[in-house]
Amino acid sequence: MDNIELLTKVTSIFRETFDNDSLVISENMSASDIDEWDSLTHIRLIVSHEIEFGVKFSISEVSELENIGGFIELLESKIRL
Amino acid sequence: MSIKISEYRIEDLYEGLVESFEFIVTDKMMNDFSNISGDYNPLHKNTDYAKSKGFDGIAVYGGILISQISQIIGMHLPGKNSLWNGLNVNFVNPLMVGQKATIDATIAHISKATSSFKLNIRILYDEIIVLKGSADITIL
Repeated sequence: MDNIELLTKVTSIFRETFDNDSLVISENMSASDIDEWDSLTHIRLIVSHEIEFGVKFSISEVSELENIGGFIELLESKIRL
Repeated sequence: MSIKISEYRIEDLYEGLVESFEFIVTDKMMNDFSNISGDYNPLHKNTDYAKSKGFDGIAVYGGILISQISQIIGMHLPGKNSLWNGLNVNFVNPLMVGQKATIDATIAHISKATSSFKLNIRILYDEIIVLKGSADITIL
């Protein structure tokens, strides 16, 4: 899977989670940039990515994330294992 | 009367874990649900009407089936520490009043990072699928 394909899939999951077909994500964005990003949508985001990409995240991995760029890096590292 | 309630923690769970129980929807449950929901549709109240629409008898409310999902999550898997986040269901075949049904719930995915998991849920009558769906649960 190349970076474009990965970003397309991640964007699709974000759009479905936030029910916003025009949502555009960027590396510097975080929860504070999306009004609907609360604890419940956070859970949905993590679980949807785990299921879609067949990976598992730990509590510490997720708690250390600062933005979407960090999340995508973490996801890439899991996929390439 | 003592009510038994499970107390699974996230570390107790594994993918493939199943909980199930049998239940029969009675006339009293149907009447109680009519009053709770305000749904007095004849499909759920009038045998002749239900038969005229091709059913074998009075069809159980979908809401009562969902109430059994509430029971399996709130009392069995995971039980006490559950918080129900989401539900998707399809009503595949009707269940009639008085028929013995089985509900089973199987853990399909565990997310330790979020202390949550996804359950696949089925309700069956005599091996016929009545309801099929999934639920998202957080363990508090």
